[in-house]
Amino acid sequence: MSSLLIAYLLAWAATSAFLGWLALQNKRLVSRQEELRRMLAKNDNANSFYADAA
Amino acid sequence: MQACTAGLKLRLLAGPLLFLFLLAPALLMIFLYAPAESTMGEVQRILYIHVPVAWCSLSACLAMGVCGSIYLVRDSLVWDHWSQAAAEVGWLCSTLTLATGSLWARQAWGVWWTWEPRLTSTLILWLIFMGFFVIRAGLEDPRRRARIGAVFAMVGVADVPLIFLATRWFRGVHPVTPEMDPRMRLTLLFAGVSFVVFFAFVTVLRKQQLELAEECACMESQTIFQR
Repeated sequence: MSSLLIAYLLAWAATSAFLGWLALQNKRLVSRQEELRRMLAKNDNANSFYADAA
Repeated sequence: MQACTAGLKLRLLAGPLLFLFLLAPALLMIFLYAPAESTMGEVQRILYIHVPVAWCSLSACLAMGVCGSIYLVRDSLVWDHWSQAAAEVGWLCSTLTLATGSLWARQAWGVWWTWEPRLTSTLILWLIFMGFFVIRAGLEDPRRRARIGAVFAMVGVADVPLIFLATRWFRGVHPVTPEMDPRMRLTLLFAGVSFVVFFAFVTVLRKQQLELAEECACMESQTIFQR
């Protein structure tokens, strides 16, 4: 009986850990994407300012 | 970009639905519907998780090889993402196959591990997944990584028929399609379908995430170029 419990708990824990890791990665990537998008927009604004000035 | 994030959120919502309609009924069938086996008793219920995760790991290995070969033909990184996502899910499933099988073997055969043909070929599958990650981790160029990974994945697929036919070709102690009560068979089938659908869903999530990572890398190179 304990082997049965261990098997199911192990499967649950491993799958949950994998899904948790996926969720964390996802969060990190989405915030990084936002940050990069802001950075690119700022650079575009600066480039167009200098192009106009020239 | 926004469509990609919205797609991710939609898929995250699909998770609880999958649990409600597939995994929860499968667990109820395993513990309440399927009868206990006369010789092994309750421990036999490990089979309902061991066999489905084994199916998932074999399917993932096949998917890894097929996507790798499509990458070599089409030279599109999307197929490399599919291949990597399948390999990661396959590694998780083959780890669970070995762990649950070992727990079952301790009760059935009195040992945690034996160098039996099917067990050995399953261990080789686990090592193939690990090798796939190790080789890829050592390569920085995405195209080169994808190409070498694809070749490795195609070679790794050769282990799938070996695992499948190990009990037929070689004399071993691993059970081969034993006689089962119809309720046990139905439970095993339902659990199998549920787990395959669930892990396919996880593979789609991971592939989506790898695409997002590539998008970020592309944007990073743009910012460096602009500086």
